[in-house]
Amino acid sequence: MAHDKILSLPVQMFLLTALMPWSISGCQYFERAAALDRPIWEFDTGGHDPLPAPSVEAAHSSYEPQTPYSEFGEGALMRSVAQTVQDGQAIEIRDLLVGPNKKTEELRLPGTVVFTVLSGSGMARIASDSDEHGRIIELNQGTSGVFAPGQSFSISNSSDLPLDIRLRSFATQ
Amino acid sequence: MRSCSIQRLPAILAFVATGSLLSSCSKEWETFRHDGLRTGHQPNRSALSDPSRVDTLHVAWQWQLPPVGANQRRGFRSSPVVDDGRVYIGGGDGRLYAFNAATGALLWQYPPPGQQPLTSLFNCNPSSYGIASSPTVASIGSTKAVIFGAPDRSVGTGLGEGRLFALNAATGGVIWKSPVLAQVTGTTWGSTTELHQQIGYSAPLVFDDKIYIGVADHCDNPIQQGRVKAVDLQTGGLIAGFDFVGASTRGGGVWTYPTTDLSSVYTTTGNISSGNPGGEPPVNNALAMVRLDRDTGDLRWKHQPVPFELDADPDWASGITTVLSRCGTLMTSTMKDGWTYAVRPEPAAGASPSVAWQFPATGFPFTPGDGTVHGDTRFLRAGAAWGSTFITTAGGLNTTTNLTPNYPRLHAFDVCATNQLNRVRWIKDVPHTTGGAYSLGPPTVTRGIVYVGTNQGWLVLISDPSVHAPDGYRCVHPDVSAALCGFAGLPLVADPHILAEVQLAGSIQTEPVLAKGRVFVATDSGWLYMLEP
Repeated sequence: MAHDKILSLPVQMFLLTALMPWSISGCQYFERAAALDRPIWEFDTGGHDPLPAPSVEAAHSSYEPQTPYSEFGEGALMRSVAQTVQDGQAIEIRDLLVGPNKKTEELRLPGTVVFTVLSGSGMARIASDSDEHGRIIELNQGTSGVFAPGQSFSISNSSDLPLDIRLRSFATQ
Repeated sequence: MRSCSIQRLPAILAFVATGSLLSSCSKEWETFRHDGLRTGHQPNRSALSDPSRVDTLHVAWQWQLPPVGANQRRGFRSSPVVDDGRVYIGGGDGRLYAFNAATGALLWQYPPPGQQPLTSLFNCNPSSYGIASSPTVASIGSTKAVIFGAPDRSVGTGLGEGRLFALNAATGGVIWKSPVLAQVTGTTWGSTTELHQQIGYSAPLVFDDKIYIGVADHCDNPIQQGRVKAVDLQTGGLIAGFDFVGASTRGGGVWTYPTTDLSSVYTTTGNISSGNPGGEPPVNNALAMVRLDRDTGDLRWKHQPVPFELDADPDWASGITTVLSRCGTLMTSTMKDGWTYAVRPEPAAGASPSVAWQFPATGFPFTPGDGTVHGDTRFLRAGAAWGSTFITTAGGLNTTTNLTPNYPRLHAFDVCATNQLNRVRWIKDVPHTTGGAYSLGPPTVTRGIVYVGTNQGWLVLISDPSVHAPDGYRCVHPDVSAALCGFAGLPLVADPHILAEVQLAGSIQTEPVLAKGRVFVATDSGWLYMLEP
């Protein structure tokens, strides 16, 4: 009510009329929300509401990855990043992707495999002669290790994020 | 409701007045990224926000920078700004030009023909030849002024030291010139005894009767002490009580614009380790998003995900976009290494910032041995904010495995989503690019229609799926086909529809400006275009 002493009612009505086009012209944005002490998103110009999730039958777009992953047994996606032969050794770099809450079947790659977790977390079960249940290691970003030639392993990802592992294999030809 | 509005009229009027400083709802485009929040968003309806009309977008006029010598022509790295029927833009030839927005008629240029242009004698990349700083329009007293940073060989050492200029917007007459803000005391590459500072790409922020500007260096030869400086809007005088340094020695160059949330000043900073072979200096604000006291420049907080040991030059150069979202205000930005962050402004001081999210969510700060790489990759374009959606050129879920194919790709993030998989609103591979670094300029948006330029000279209009149905769906992981997405336990996301594509001449590294139903965009080959439906 103190404001009424600042501006007479006719003046206020005139200014309100003058400001009306401004207030409805699409300028439903920061100043208006702040002036009315209301959350900004109540004055939105769109872009606030999440999109509906696509249906199961949603059409795929024409986009295709340049270096796509392929299915590599249950629960695993794999792609070859680079390969060469040097001094009789076949060297190959691969990416293994285990999706959120996925577990792979027993996997096996040729030769000695050095692995590094590039992102995500999970567990690896590595076949072991001394333990019928295998050896369990925790996987976190930066974790590295070695799979011996012919050694099988499986990976489980119990997180909601993808688990990316880089594999470097060295196999005698 | 009406009586409520009447009671609040003085408050509304106050905001109309202060709104002229930041103009976040302006129909014009008075500063780089539209407003002081750096939203890159034109909120007002026009033909440019009408999906049924934009497919008729065509060039209404065009103008090319004159050659600077025989067979040599500089392009535009400054973006245009628009106010009151005029367009202003700085050229790589060292002149600031003003045009009639409707006709393209050249109104004035500064310096006038025959006078030495605003160029530097330290030339190395497009930021250093002429005017790379996008201008800002503001009122100085009762006079509309165009304010920009540029090298000036008429002052100091004569090598092209950086300062701010304020020109009368109507006439091009000088209102004031600031003191030197970026020193150049020699041009010997790699010299550690000379100063090689520059304003470069930093665009001025007008806020609270001050102008804030960033200072970086010339091509890291070598890196300099990064700074944010402030001058008085009315006089151009340096505000001595304000100072921010990126490092106590070298590093933390401010390659981008300052931003505000109406409370503080924010910016992002560049690399540090190459300038400190002896180890980390005592003050290290480099490779960080920083919140600064608007009066003193004192550091309020810094978000510094990449430590000194992992600095392989991932300058944080894209600047900050203030997103006024349904879950509060978030300061969002993509670092040059491809990771995107959203940080809450609070706490205002005295504690680590509250990071709302990181994408991809690998965790931070990064540590030696974690397998991540933070190098000189090129995720350095400003993002755009539309509602709770942040649109940016960013690393995707393949950031740690296959980063660079993301250069021609836009990600739209729901900044309020609860996890990273449903944070991705849509992904678009923009056509008409070479696919490499600098494929895209900074995107802008008006009510869900995204405008972005490509390095093959196309202006591409992309529709948010809430405005026009998408072309279909793709996997949220850029390297997983849609067919295998479900197998991998990943969601599909929209692949939005392209509403229009217009071919122009020259690589577009600047922002498409959206003002009163017209698009203004400038190219590397020196063309300035006005397009309208």
